[in-house]
Amino acid sequence: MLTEANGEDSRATSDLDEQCYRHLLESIEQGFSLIELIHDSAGRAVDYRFLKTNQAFERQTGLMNVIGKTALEVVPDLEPQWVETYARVAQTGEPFAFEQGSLAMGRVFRIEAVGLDGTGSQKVALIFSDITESRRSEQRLIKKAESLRLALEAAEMGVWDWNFETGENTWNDAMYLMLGLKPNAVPASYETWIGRVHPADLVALEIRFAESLRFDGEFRAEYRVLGPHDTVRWVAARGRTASDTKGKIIRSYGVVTDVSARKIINQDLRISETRYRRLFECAHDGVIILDSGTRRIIDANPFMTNLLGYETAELVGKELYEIGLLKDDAASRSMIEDLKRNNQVRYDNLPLESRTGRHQEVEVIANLYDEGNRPVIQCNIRDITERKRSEEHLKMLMAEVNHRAKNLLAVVQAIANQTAKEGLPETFSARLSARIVALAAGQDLLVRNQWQGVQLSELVAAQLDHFRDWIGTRVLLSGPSVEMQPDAAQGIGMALHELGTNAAKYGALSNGEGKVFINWEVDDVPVPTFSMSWVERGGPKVITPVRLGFGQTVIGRMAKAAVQGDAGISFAEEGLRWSLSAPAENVLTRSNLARS
Amino acid sequence: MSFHPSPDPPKAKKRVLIVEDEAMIAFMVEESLNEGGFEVAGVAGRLETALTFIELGQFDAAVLDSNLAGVSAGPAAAALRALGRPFVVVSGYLPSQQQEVFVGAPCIQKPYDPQSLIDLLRDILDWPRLD
Repeated sequence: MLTEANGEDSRATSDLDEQCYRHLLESIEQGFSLIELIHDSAGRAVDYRFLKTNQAFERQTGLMNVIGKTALEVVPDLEPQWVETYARVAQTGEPFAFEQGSLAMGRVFRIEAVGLDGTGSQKVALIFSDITESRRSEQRLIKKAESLRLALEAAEMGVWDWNFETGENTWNDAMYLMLGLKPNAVPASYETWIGRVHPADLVALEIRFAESLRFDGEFRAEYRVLGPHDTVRWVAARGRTASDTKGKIIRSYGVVTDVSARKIINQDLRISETRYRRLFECAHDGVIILDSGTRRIIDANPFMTNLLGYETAELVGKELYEIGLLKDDAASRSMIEDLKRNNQVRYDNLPLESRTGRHQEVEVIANLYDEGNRPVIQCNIRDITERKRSEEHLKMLMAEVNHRAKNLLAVVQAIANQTAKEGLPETFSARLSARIVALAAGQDLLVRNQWQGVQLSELVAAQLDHFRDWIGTRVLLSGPSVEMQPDAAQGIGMALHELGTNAAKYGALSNGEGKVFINWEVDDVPVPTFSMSWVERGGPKVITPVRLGFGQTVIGRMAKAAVQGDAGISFAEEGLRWSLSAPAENVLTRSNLARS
Repeated sequence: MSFHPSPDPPKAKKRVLIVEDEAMIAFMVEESLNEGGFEVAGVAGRLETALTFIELGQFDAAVLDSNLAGVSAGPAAAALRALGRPFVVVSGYLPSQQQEVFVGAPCIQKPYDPQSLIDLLRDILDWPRLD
């Protein structure tokens, strides 16, 4: 009984153990199985049978209810190395741990195999850890590193990694290329790097790098290097330092990118900004920029602030009507409406009052355009006060030209009338032409002198042009330099013409030896007086004309009227004598009077 | 003895002052006036002379050039108005270019037909036009 009892006891103990083990096996994470190897007739292990498994085994392998079945029954295409490995463990009795992937199961396991019952036993206990997931994440990490490398290469990013403890400095190919070097042709080193930096950026860069090492800071720098083909390139470097547990900096690493394109764009932007800012500042037009939404001034250039007498800061935030440019708020609104329809508005003539009350006429051209993020209005304001003034001046000049032209026509008309009365119709045309030519000669002189005055000697020469070869021999001039007023020049000029015509027909210039003496002078006593005479000698005997012709009228009355003085003509036998005297102020130009 | 009003004495010639700086034109105007039955009261070529003549007042009407040697004849026009003497403005300017002081006075543009000046003078003096 006892024995039985003992036997029962031992069975009970064994059951308890069994329960305990089973509980233990079921609670662990690892898969467990107990296998027994199966040999072929030649004693070679060819398969194994599952004797025990736990739930984790089923979970991990996905193989259910395998107890009593052989491995090949469960996984027919099981890789032979599994059997071989277990057979070796059973043979040697050495526990063996290995990692094994099974394509058939689509998983990777770490397996600890322990032979049971000593050497030569055919039973092996297996502990499976499914490391498929951790393997995958390792794989992912490797892949990640690879894709980072690829990305760096694709982004043409140079990478450096400098270990101060080992002195090892590592660059990727892109780093070499960026510095215009063939990859690995020279050792990667601080000196190699610095040797490729643009001299202008060198000192600042070295200081900044040294600081990053000293203060464990970030290293950021943009500098120029001699890039491929020794062209100057802009690069941006970003680096970090790493320290050991004692805080000693032991590594510097980072990336370098070529930023030439951005630099050039930035530089172009800066140049463009400078250029337009200068235009804005120096323009001889007022420029106001308005926010189209609020209608308020955002900016105004110096010309505008001068025009208005306000500082830019005083203008900013105001509306146009507040600075006296538009009449009122309604006008301002209507301008914006117009602008929205047509994009441009033009006001040809707006009155503008400056802060000091100065009135100006301005022309305003407003344009609506988009400034990237907001619609703005640019108003160009041009001061047209000066233009208006010159338009007025031009109008005045045209009136003057009109007046002079009409006056001259009236003179021609008068001459024509008188010429017609004076002689035969057959000679009318010739006589009129000669007088018009004389008149024109006087005009030429006036125009040449901007209608200011005419030198008397020039006037005589012009009117006696027919006799120019005799001037100095038979026509003798004497007198000071005298500049005559336009009216006096015209009257005296006509008289000289008539005297010359008369002398050539009947007087001293009608024979071979007669002479004409033309004298003029300016006397100061008692009042400044201009006097002039035309004296003929050596001509044929003079006969006093019976009737006063137009020529004589001109010689006498015209000249007299032109200078508001006295004129006389005498027909002495020895020669004609004409004299004229007038207040100098009626004859000479103001500048000439001031001189004498 | 009854009083008989005497018949109108033969009309005395109207005296006209010529204010014109252009001697040639003044001469022509002078001739036209003489031929047109007027008497020339004087010829003034400058503004000061014109003002002196106007002050003396020995004339019935005036022919006034608006520009005398570059000087506006405005003061002469004003003096004539003050004196109540009619005048004709002769000018090379267009009516739109004319100074305000002349506006309202009868005006002829240079150059002109002397007869039209005579007609205008007769109009302003209330004389019948000559046919």
